[in-house]
Amino acid sequence: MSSSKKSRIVKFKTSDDKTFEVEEAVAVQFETIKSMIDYVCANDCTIPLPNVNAKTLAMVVEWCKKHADERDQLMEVDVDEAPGAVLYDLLVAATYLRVEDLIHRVSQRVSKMVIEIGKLPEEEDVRKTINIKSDFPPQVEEELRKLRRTLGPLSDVLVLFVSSGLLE
Amino acid sequence: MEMEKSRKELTMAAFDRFSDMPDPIVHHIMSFLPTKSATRVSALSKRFNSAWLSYPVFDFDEALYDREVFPYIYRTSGKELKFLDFVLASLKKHCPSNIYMQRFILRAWPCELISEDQIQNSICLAADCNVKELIVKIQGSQENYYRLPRTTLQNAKSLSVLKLSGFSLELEDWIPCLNLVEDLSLKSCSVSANFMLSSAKLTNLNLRYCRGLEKIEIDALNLQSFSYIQYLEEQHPCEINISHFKNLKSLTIEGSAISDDWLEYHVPKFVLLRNLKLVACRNLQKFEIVALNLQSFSYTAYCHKEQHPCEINLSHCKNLKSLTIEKPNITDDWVEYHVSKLVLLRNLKLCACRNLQKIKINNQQLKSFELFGCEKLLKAKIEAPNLISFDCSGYALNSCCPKIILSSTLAHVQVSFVAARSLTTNSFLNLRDFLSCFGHCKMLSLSFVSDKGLIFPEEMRKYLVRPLLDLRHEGWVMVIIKLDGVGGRLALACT
Repeated sequence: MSSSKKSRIVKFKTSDDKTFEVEEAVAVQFETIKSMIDYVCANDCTIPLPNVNAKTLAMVVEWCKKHADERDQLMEVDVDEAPGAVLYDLLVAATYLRVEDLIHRVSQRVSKMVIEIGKLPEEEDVRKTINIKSDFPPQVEEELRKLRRTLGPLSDVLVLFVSSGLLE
Repeated sequence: MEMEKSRKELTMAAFDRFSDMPDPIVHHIMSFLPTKSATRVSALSKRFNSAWLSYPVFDFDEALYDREVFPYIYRTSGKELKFLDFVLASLKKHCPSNIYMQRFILRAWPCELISEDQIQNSICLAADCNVKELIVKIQGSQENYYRLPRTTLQNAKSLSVLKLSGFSLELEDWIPCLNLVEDLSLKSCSVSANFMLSSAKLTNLNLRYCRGLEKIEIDALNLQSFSYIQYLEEQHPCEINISHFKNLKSLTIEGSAISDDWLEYHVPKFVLLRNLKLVACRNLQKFEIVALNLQSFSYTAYCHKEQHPCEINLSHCKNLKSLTIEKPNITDDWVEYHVSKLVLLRNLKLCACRNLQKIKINNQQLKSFELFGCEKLLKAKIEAPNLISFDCSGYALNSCCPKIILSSTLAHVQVSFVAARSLTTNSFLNLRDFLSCFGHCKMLSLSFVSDKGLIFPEEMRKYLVRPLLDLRHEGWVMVIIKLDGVGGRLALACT
C-alpha cells in the first residue's frame, strides 16, 4: 500500500531545539497533526512542539511504529522501568499530540503507581513520599487528628468523607 | 539496591507533577483505580479532592458503608441513616443533572426486604445523568427479585456497560435500551422466557443463574465473549440459538442441556474461538471439537450417581495450549493419545478422573501438570523434559499413593495430602515410597493437614532408608513443608 505512494516526511522541532523527521504513516496517528499534514508537507514547514522534548518524542514515535500487538510488550519493558518523570512527559506529549491509545496505556501505568503509593498506612507518609503538602484548612486537619485519636487508624473512606464533607 | 531505591524515590517525587494535569487526564488515571485507592488519593490535597469531587464515578457498597460510614454518622449526628437513604441523599447532593456520570455502582446485601422505590429512584438519578456504566448488585439472603421497569433507564442514552443482579426484568421491553450496550451481564435475575437480541455493538454477554430463561436468540456480529450458566433449579431446558458469532473468542456454557450435535454444529463456525469451557452439560456424551485456534479447553463432566459416558475428540485442536479435564470418564489411552498428539500443550490438569489407572504422559512442551484426586491411579509415567511445575493433591496418607515416574529434573513438585483418619506403619511406608519418586527434582513442597504424618515412629527410622537423600543426583533439593494444622512453615535444604 505504502510502496505505491511515496512516503512523505513530516518535520518537528522539539522543546530542546532538535529537529525530528517522522514518516507520514506515524504522523497521521497524532490526531492534532493529522489535518495539517498536507499543508505542512507541501510548504516544507517544521511543526514546533514547545512542550515535548526529543527523548519523549522518540518514545512516542517508537510506540506509534509498533503494531498494536507489540505495543504492550514495548510498554512492559520501557515504562515499568521508567520513573514517574518519564511517564509524566509521555502523558503530556500523548495528550498534546492526541495519541489516544498511548494516553490510555500511560494512564493505566500511572494508576498502578498510585495503588503502590496508596499502600502506605498514614496519609502523612504518602504526602511525604510524593512531595505534596496538605493544603486542607486547619479545621479539617484538626477533625482528622481528633478522629484518629478516638478511633485509631482511619479508613480511607472515612478520611475522604471528612475531608470532602467539611470542604463544602 | 541503592540504585533501586533512588529510582523509586524519583518515581514518587515526580508524582506531584501529575496533579498539574488537566481534569480529564486525572480522571482517566483515576478510572483505573479501585474506588478505595481513588478515595485515598483524594484525601491528600485540595487539588486531588476537587478532582475526586468532579470525578463522575459513584460507587456505593453496603458492606463498606456499614463498617465505616454508618458509625461515623451515628457518632457525629446521632442519626441511624440507612444505606439506601444515604445513597439517595449523596446522589441528590453531589450529582447535578448536567453532569455526565461515567460509572454508577451499587452493591447491597439487604437482610430484610428493602424498598423497591428507593432502588429504582437511585438508578433513575444515575440514568438522568446519562450514566455510561451501570452496575447494580443486590444480593439478599432470600431469593427476592426487585422489579426494574425499563422506564427507569429511558434517560440513559449512552449506556455501554450494564450489569445487574437480583432483579426481575421484562427483557422484551429492554431491547431498545440495549442498542449501544457493549458489555451486558445479568446474574441471578428473574427474566422473561425469551431473550432475543440483535446488536452490532455487543462484545460481552454473560447470563448467569437467570431464572425462567427458556430461549436465547442472539445475533451479534462483534460478540467476543459469551457465557451462559443455567439457573440451578431450572425446570425447562433452555434453547440457545446463536448466529453470526464470527468474532467469538471465548465461550462458557454451564449446566445447560446442549447436545453433542449443537456443539459440533456451532463450534466450527466460531473461527476465532480461543477459550472454551463446558461445565456439567448433562447431554454431552460423545463429541468432537473442531476449532483450529482454540488455545484453552476446560471440560467438567456432569456429576451423577452413575458414571456418565463421555468421549471427547480433540485431535483437531492443533493449537491447544491449556487443557483441563474434570470428573469425566476418560481412559488411560485417551490421555496418552491426546497429550502426545497436542504438541503445543503447555498446561494440563486432570481432576477426579476416576477411571484412570496407569497413565503415560509424553509431551515435549508441557510446562505444568496438575493431578488432583484421581483415586484409582496406580502409576503415572511423565515424560516431559520441560516440565517446571507438577502439582499432585488429594491423596490421603493411609491410602495407596500412585507411583510417579517423572523425567524432568527442572520441576518444582508440590504435593498436598488430605487428612487421614488413622496412621499405620503402612502409611509411613507409603509416604516414604511416594517421596522417593521425587528425589531428582529441583524443589519439593509438601502440605499436610497435621504434623502427625511427618513424624516417623522411632523404630521405623532405624531400618528405613531415607527417601530423598540417597536418590538425589546433583545440586540442591529444596524441601518445603507446610503444616496447615500447626500453622508453621519449615524449610529444609538438603545438600
